[in-house]
Amino acid sequence: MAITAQEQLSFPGRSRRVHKIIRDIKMNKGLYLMILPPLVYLFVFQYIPMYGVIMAFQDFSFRLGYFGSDWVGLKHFEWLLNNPAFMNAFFNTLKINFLRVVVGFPMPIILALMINEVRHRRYKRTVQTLSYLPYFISWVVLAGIFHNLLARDYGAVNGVLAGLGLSRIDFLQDPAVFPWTLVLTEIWRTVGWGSIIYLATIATISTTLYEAAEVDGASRFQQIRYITLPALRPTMIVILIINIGNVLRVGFDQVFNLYNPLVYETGDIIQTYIVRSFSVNPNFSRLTAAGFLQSLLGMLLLLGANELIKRIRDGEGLY
Amino acid sequence: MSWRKFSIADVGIYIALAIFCFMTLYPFWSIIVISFSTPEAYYSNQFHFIPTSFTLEAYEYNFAEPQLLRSFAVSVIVTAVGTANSLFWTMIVGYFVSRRGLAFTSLVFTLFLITFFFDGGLVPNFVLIRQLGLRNTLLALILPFTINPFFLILMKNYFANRPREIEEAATIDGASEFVILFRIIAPTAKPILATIGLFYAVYYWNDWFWPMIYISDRSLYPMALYLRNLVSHASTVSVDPGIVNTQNPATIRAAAIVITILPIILVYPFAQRYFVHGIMLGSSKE
Amino acid sequence: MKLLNRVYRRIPILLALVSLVALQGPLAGQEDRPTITIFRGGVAIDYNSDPIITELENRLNVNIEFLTSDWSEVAQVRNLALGAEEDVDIYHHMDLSLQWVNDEIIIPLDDYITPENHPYLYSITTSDLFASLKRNGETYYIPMISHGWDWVWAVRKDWLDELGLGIPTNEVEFRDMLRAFKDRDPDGRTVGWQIEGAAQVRRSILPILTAFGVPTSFYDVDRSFVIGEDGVLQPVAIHPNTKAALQYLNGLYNEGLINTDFPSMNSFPLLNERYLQAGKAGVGWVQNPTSIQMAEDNVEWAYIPPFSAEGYEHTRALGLAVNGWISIAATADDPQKAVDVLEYLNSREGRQLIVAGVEGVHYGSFDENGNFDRNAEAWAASYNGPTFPLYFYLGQGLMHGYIPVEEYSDFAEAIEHTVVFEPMPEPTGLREVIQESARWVGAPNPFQFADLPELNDIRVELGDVIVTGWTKVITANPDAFETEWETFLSEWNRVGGDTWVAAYQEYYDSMMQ
Repeated sequence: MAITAQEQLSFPGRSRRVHKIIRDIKMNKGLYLMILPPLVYLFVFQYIPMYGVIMAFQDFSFRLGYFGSDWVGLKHFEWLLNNPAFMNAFFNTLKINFLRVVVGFPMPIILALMINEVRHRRYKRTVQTLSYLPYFISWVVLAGIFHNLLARDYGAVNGVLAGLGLSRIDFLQDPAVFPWTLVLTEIWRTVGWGSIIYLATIATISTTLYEAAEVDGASRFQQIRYITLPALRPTMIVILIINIGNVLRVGFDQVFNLYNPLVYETGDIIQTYIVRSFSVNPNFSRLTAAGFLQSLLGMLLLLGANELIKRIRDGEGLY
Repeated sequence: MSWRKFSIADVGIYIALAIFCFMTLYPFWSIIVISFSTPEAYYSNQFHFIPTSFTLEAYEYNFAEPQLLRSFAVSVIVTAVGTANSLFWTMIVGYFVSRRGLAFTSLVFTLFLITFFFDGGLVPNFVLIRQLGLRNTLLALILPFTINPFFLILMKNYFANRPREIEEAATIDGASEFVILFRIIAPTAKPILATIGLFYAVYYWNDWFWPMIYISDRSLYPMALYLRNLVSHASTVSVDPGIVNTQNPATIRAAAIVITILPIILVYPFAQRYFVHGIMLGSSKE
Repeated sequence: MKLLNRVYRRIPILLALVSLVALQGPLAGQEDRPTITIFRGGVAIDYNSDPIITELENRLNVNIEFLTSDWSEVAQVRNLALGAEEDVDIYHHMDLSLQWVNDEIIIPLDDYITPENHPYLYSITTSDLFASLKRNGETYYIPMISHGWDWVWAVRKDWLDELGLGIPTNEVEFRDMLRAFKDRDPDGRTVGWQIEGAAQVRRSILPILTAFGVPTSFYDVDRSFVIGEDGVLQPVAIHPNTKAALQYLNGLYNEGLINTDFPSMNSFPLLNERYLQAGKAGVGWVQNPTSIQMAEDNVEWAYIPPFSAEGYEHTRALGLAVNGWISIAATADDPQKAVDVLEYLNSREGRQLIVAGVEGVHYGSFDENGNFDRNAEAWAASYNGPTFPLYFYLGQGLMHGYIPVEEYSDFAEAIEHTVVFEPMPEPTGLREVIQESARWVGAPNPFQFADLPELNDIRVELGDVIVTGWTKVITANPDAFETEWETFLSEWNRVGGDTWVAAYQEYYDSMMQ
């Protein structure tokens, strides 16, 4: 609630804000009381351990510990940004995840829309349940399955291609194809799960809207365009922004289990490179610095995307 | 929408969805088939779509292992309590930060958002848990994960887009915030609560990493960790050459996977009950 | 009434909460004994209830605990143990690190080892074979010997008999044999020989590399060198003999005699399942084939002994089957006790316990050849099904027996006379495997133990370059072989191959003085 004009005159500048704060708390005592335990949780479990980040700026040594190791500032960051293998992994990560967002973002929405069109309840429920099954199978197991399906000489997919007279594709060993293999298999795996949040949102749309539209003579597509999609928009925006924020981070399990040296040049991502180099050269500071870099850039990307969306769509966005 | 005629487009959609379901079902189905196969049948076939043998050996072997049932119980407890705890607090915080304009809501949201990206790393988290005396307890698998920032964002987004008339009406009537939140808002937010509850449940059920870090006593391993040990021993690139002859045969692994996945898959149909079309909005004008 | 209802409804929650707090791990062993904590990856047994470990604890009057994780996370968990100063006594290593010595994470052991009380440890730490392991003249790492090694080049004897072929004695016969294997089943996707994925390819093709006179290493190609007569080092990775060997393999690949999916075949178990166990390959470099599950019955194995390629002479691969190292942590409460435990694990008595089980329960007695009569039911009750053998976790790698250090003063000689323990009455063929295996292993790679931290950054890239280069060269079209090889060489130079060799040359020269 805004403060009254009278109050505005009585309490200039900063104290006006303080006054507002006190007023807000007084008017919503219960709310502020309820938020205290989560804040305690946040402080204890999330912020206290944050001191570990310091390792990225030190030459960490176990003997000297967190508070005794030498401070080296941005040395590790410089090393990473100047290392061609790391930068290759960096750009691969961007490319692959960008593809994932562009190709993969619309998919769960389309699936949700399609499922929503199904009228037989049993069929609908079955499709929904079957659609998210792959999400539960870990990449360790899926890698074996995909190896079977995608191998060039005896995989099922190539068998079909060859049967149709097309040339075989080396999904797992051709560096030009490999990023697409990663993107498409990941989409397949998560599209069902991703559609859940959209289906939940659709469920909150009042049926009277659809009824009214039907009476007005709207076609199915018009109904989707003018009723369903606008209702989904806030959720879509949130998911999109989060995906953009994650563009440097996700994918380790999948890539680690599917990649091999022949596809390093296009398939090596930050995490796999770091893990591989760490096992040969265990430099903890560098490891932490790489993680910090991912986090920082991810956060900046998210905030940037958020700002952009706010400008385009007038006020919508994360905050 | 049952008034609409069943058109060509509908047929197309039904078929497309059927093909899609076939694709998503295949891996899980092949795992099920493997779990009921004999080892010989497993090695003889490249694809496991149509069963060529049937045996319950793999399941017998798995259930004979006492740790399996113990891990199952651990997973159930951690998932149930963890989900309830997380849902409760995430709802509160989600509602709080959705109240734009109110003091400190932006700040609190930012503080949570930061944790979405930044983390102190393994050692500080571990040291904290050790110092709190939570090492080797199930609480260590629940408390640190009370609020997931991503789910918080979804929760906030939902509340922010709900009409405010109901709350304002209740406030004028003199209701306290507790009452508003729990008695009035929450029941109308069933879809999002069910969804986020589902997300949390799946998270708790599937997590093996933090249990591996915090729990050293094998009898307290949750299913996901128990399963991962079983599967990883035979499936990852091995540092140690001594793996091939003593791996768990694929059939045993497959059975263990089925046992682990089945319960959590069945949670969604249960949660679907709450995805009900717009009942609650009847009260306010659209 | 309503209140009571509310209470009742909350009972399940209360129970759950109570169980959360109450459910802690059972008390770790007895309070009055010291605890030895061993850090080791991949331990999957329930060591609290394991009968052999319990017996071991009673004999030594200690509690034995493991701090472990799955192999893929072992580096993280180890850092955790270090960073959080966990109470670890014994560390297992898969790689040597000078950093641990400098950071005083592990301690020198010579003061704790005496010839009277620790004959095995004394013998191994004073042996010339491992002189280069010492740091600053002191012993920090004890090698885990995997003699009684069981890697062999196994071939399907039943297929050979069916085709009327003998065991190949050179690379031409080998190739002909592979062709015959492939033709035997042209429509099924049988290949002749299964080889592993790119990251591990050096391991699978070891028999061919050695046939072409390349002293490759089982573990690290990048640190293997051919020592010329003039003392000049040539890296194995780019050696002309290596090129010849890879060209031969290129020929096999292009004829379809080895599995064309090998570059992406990251998983050794998957490879075996897909080919050898499915009967789709006739040859494989594997461990102890007698214990592999096969799809068919009546499978017979024979072993291809090392041979020389035309114009070359077979050279043994480097690396005396050292399967890792053990060290004692600075955080150990009682290092002497830890050392005593290690010694016991290598004594005859200790080995018999670990390999065969508890006397009177799992077996009756041993004879002088190392055969023991296993009680099959008792053993199956304790170890029902595929788990790692216990001696694997307790530090001794894959050794299936005992090294008689009391009878031979020289450790190297003692290894040659390893007593292999075999359960009766069904001989598994293990002894034959071990004998065959012994034909392959050679002296330790002196450069494996060299620790040159300034090369760490190069090492990451070099490893990638070698693996990628070899794979590309093998899978190239025959007419593109030369160009691929040239590309490989230029990549090697680009990432600092010269610097690498120069550093090792310097190390070698200083060692020779």
